[in-house]
This record gives sequence, structure tokens and C-alpha cells, in this order.
Amino acid sequence: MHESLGTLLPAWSALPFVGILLSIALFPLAAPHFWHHHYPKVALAWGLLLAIPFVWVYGATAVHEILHVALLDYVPFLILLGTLFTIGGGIYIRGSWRGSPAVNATLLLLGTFLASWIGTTGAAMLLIRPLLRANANRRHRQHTVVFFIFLVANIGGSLTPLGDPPLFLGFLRGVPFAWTLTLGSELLVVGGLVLAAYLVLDAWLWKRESIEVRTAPPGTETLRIDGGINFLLLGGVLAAVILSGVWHPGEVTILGIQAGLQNLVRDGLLILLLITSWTITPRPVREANGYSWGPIREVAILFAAIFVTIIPPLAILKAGEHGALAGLIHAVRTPAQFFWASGILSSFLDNAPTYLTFLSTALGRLYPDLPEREAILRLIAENGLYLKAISTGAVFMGANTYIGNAPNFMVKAIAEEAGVEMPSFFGYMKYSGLVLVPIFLVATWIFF
Amino acid sequence: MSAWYEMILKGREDDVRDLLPGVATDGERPLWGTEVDLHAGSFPEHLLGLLGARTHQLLFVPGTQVGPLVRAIQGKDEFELERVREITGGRFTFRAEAFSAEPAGKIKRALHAPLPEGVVLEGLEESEDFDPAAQGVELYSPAHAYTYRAQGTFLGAPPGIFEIHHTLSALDFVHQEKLELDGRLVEGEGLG
Repeated sequence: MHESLGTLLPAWSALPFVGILLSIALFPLAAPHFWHHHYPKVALAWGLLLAIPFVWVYGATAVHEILHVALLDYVPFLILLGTLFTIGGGIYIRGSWRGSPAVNATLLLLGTFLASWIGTTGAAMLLIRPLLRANANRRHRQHTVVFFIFLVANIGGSLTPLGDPPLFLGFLRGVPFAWTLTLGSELLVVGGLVLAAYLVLDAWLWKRESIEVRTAPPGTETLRIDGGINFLLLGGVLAAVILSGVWHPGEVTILGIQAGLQNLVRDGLLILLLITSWTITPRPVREANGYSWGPIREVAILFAAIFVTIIPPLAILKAGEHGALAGLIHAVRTPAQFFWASGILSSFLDNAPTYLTFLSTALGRLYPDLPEREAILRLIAENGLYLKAISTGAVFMGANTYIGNAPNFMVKAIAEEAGVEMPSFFGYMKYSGLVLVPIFLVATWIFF
Repeated sequence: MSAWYEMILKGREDDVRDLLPGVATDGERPLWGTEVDLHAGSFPEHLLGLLGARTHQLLFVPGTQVGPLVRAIQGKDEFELERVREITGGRFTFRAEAFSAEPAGKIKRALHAPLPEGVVLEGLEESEDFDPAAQGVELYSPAHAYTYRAQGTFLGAPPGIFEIHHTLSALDFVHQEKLELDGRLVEGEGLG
């Protein structure tokens, strides 16, 4: 990143970035069918609104910035998400259980654990249907899906860069793979309290179910995992990502951008794993999961616009007090403030760009003159609490609203199509306000 | 069809509950306001009621049971009869939005089944939208491939209006507006 660019760009150059994030947040609520059919045009419009004047004014520097973000952030991001989604979508869990509090809590716990290793989207796709099947006869189901969104689609993804897109973006920018494991205590406390709250609520509602529901036999289908070979491929994903973090064979130059050879190898391996999963997984397994290329297409199109439009705000934030967003740098100072600031924005905007925004804010405040990778390593070594606050804020608080994290909407739609009446946007926020916000306050008190 | 009365009593819920079996006749039973989402008293009062306090209780009582109920509470300090109203009719609007065939089918069956005596459904609007492009899982552009929508207004006298309100309450994806009741106040002396 050219450090001078951040001091030159005006604050309003961040408007296309705000525009694409607000479009992603608001259109699915306000005009879902329009958005479903026209989001590529909207994304293209925001992207061009930034790219054309940016290249016009800054010429080769702007082209370099766009290529840099495309090759080093966007493409690897898309490859990882596509691979995890394809492999996760190749696993289908069969079996019939009775949706008792113990069974539901076990599925939530399993999903919370898996989310860090197959991604929140993959874990949500893998387990939402077994959970809905187990609860098909219950009158009170809504709360179980809401807590599933809290734990599996969000909080559980905090432990590795594979878990949630913000953490992978951090990894791409130099956060070591193993560092995210240090978020284990935050995950344990927050996840544990949320699961405990679920158990209390579900035990209370279970008593209000009819005697027929509570004593119904669980069904005859035994536990079986179709496409289980994909778990081996997930191991391959893990190995490829870790490899790129520990092996440094040198760099190559592509279109004027220096890229680590290890990252190219990683991306090549991931594509190979994706193709392998697609080839060896029987089609009926994917059909049972409702798998399609649609979500990957969505990520490809929308994140192309996000990664282009995020260039100015990130450059300005990295310029620290010399940039046009110095006010933000001054306003957010303590780890607790970073936790809540990144969290509140992640509640309403996609958490991946929000994470990058506050990571840049922290770097701009603490290490404005250092190259990014060096600054990140210094941040971890000297002020690690800031990165913990940004990471957990972005990952955990994506659960606060339906629009905080992509799998939230996916789970809502699958549940509604399975006959579960989900709360409205504000109805969902009543759950998060009553359950999550107090727990996040406790986490602030304990950790930040 | 006999008249129905809205009665607001002050007393502990459990005490009122104990009275009711003694007044039920002819297979009809009084209805609690909460069974049709109606409440007497404020929210804090409702919370106090959960703790066993003496609070306002809303009941809907068939005409034949009003006299026995009034006589049952007369002279007892733990009860206070605050208001009696003869219900002449009621109405509520509803809207429904479902995203798969099964719950939509349940709603359609409820709307097109023979209505309780004295109840009519006005302004029923139903639609079904199919969007084949919205099939499958979506992350950022969630839209349902199938959407059933309905809305309308039920009008009628009790107990039919209570019955249809209760039927729709049991269905997912149906949202009912508050049940509005018309009636006239009845003086307490003539009731016992």
C-alpha cells in the first residue's frame, strides 16, 4: 500500500464502500426479489463508482492498488470460501433424533466446534437440516434456530482463520494461523454462556411441549454420514492453509504484484481439493444439502465490489492521524472500544470488511509508519489485546442481527422453508439483545 | 346462540381458576382473555400476577354462566367484580406469509374451512408467487422460491369469533391484529 495515498484521499472516497455494505445489509430486507435478481448490477455500479475516478485521478498507483487487493486478498479469499463451501456441502448427516434439550444442545455444541474448522457457513449448512429434522414435531422451534445462528453461524468460527472470513483476511495480511487459537478462552466463556442460556430456555419450553412430543420415539433412521470422505479433504484444506503460514520459499511477481510462492501453492492445493470434492461426492448428497454454486457466485460478485471499494478507507485509516479519518482513529482507543466498535459495525455490516477497517484503524493509531505485515506482528507482540478485541468483536457480534454475517440469512431461509416461523428483523434482535449483549458485556469485563 | 359477556375481576388467577369448574354448563366453558391474546391490567401488573399477586383477570363467559359466577364471588373479599360488558361482536385482521407448501396448505385449509356460526371473512386476498431462480441456498441474496400470502378480516359474534381467532393462533406464519370487541356495559345488580 502506498502510504502517501492514505494522506491524499478524501473521506468521501469511502462512500462507495459504505454504499455496497449498506446495499448488502438493506436490500435483502427491503426488496429481496429485486436484490436476488439484480445484485450483480448494484455491486458493479458501486465498484465502478470508485474504480473509474480512482484510476482517472491516481493512474498507475490506483491500478497497482486494485491489482494488489485482487491478487493478494480477493482471489485467495474466494478460493478458500469456495473450497470450504464445496467440501462442507458434500457431507450430509442422516439420522433421526427427538429434539430434546440434550440432543439440541449436543448439535449446537458440535456445530460450534466444527465451525472453526469447516467455516461457519459449512458448519451451518451441515447441521441445520439434522437440527430441523430432530425438532420437526416440536411446537417451540424458533429459539433453537436463533441459538444455532448465534453459536454455529457466528461465535463458533472464532478459533481458526478457516472459521470466519474476517480471520482469514487477517491471516492473509500476516496474522499467524496459530494466533487465533489464543481466542479459545473468549470462545469458551461466550460460547459456554450462550449454550447455558439455550439449555435453560429450551428445558423450560420442552416442559410446555405436549406429552406426545416429549415421549415420541425418535424414528428409525440411524446416524449415518454421507460423503464422509470430505472430512479428509477438510484436513487437506487445513494442511494447505497452515503450510502457507509456515513455509516461505520466496516470491514471484504477477502483473507487477509480489506474491508469496507459498500462497500460490496453497491456492492451487485448495482448488485441487475443491475439484476432488466435486468429483468424488455423489450428486444426491449435494442435492440433499441444497448445494449449488449460487453462494460462491454471490461471494465472487459482491466481494469483488467490496475489495475494490475498501481500498480508500483502508488506506486512509492506515495513514492514522495524517489521514482524513483521523477522527475515527482518535475516537476508538482502548481494546474494549475496539471490541464494541468492530462488533457494532459487524452487527449491521458484513464482518469481513469491518474487521479490516478496525485492524487498519489499530495499525494506523499504533504503528502508522510500519509496513503492514511488520505492524501486525508488532501489534500481536506488544498490543495483542487490540487484535483479540477486533477479532472477537467482528466474529461474535455478527450474530447480533440477521445481516451481521452471511450464514445468518441462509439459516433463516432454510428454516422458514422447513416450516419454522422465524422472528422478524427486530424480533431476532430481541433475542440478541436479551441473550448476547449481556454476555458480551460480561466478556468485556473479563477480557478487555 | 346465547350472549357472551366480558368480565373483569380483581383477584388471584389461581383463585379465579378454582371457581370456574363450578359454573361451567352445557359443555361450554368460560374463556380466559389470554386465550385470544387480550389482557386486563398493565404489564407490571401481569408480572405481579405471575408472582401470585391479586390482579385484574379478564374472562369471557357464556350468558348462562354469568349469574352463577357472580353469585360465586359475592361476599368474598378476595374477589372484586370491576366491569361486565355484553359482547355484541368482534373483529380482527390477519396477514399470513409462508414459504413452503405445507404451512401454506394449513393456512389455506383454515381459511377455506366452513366458518363458525355467525362469523364472516371479509376482504380475503391470497396470492402465490413462484420464483424458480430463488431455488437453493443463498448467502447474500436470500429470496424464497415460493411465497404464499393472505390477508383479510374476520367479523362476528362470540363464541365463533373467539374460535376462529384461536384456530389461527395455532398456525405458524399467521399474524393477527388485536381482537376488537363491541359491547355494552351491564350494571352489576341484575347479574346475580
